[in-house]
Amino acid sequence: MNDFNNILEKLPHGKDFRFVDKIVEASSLNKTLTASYTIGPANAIFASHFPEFPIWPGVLILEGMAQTAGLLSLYLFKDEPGNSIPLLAKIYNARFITPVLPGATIHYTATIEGGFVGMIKFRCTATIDNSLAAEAKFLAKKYL
Amino acid sequence: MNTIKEEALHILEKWSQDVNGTSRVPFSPSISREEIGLIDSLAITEALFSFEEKFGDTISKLTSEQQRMFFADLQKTATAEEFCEVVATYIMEEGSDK
Repeated sequence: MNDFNNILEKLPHGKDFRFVDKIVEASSLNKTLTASYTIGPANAIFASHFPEFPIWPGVLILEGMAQTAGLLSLYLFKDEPGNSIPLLAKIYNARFITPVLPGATIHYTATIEGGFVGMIKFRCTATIDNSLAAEAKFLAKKYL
Repeated sequence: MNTIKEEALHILEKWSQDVNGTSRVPFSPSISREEIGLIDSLAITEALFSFEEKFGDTISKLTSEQQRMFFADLQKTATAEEFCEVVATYIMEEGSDK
């Protein structure tokens, strides 16, 4: 099992609430990590969102960004004892630029912009085929 | 030092207006920290990031222990002016090119 898979395994979310499949790349130097998630066309969400026009919910795009930020934190602080994901404190400047359709593969990128007394500021993007689909900034707090 | 503190007050006023709106909380140096919403670590951190946008990546250069001392000193302040004095002492002197 490679280093990226080890990090992915440490994400505490259960299988039904995981919105990242794979870590694509990461850089300690640039404090950034990219993960991907492919949305199966038969995903049960599409039965209700929306029955006549299936699109992937914006809140789940935000969750994918947040999970990617969590993976970045796990990756950067992997040598710290008790390393765990930071918990969301604030989401802001969220923008949803294009609808995400069944079958799409989303690439999430999280980058740390700063931190103070355990509070970390992340800038996150979601791209599809190299086009920006959504972006947001997060503040999250590390408790360990 | 005064110039840096005044600039800090200007940044804090802008932050307060963004968070609270321009009419609800008239800003002045003597306004209490609580009145502009600098009441917890989240709000204080958000405000500090506004200073970083102007003065560079100064907070991240502080050690964990310096950050803890910085945060403790910020929590002791009563007014916007006192808050900005502490900010100037810890981060803005280093980050400013003045």
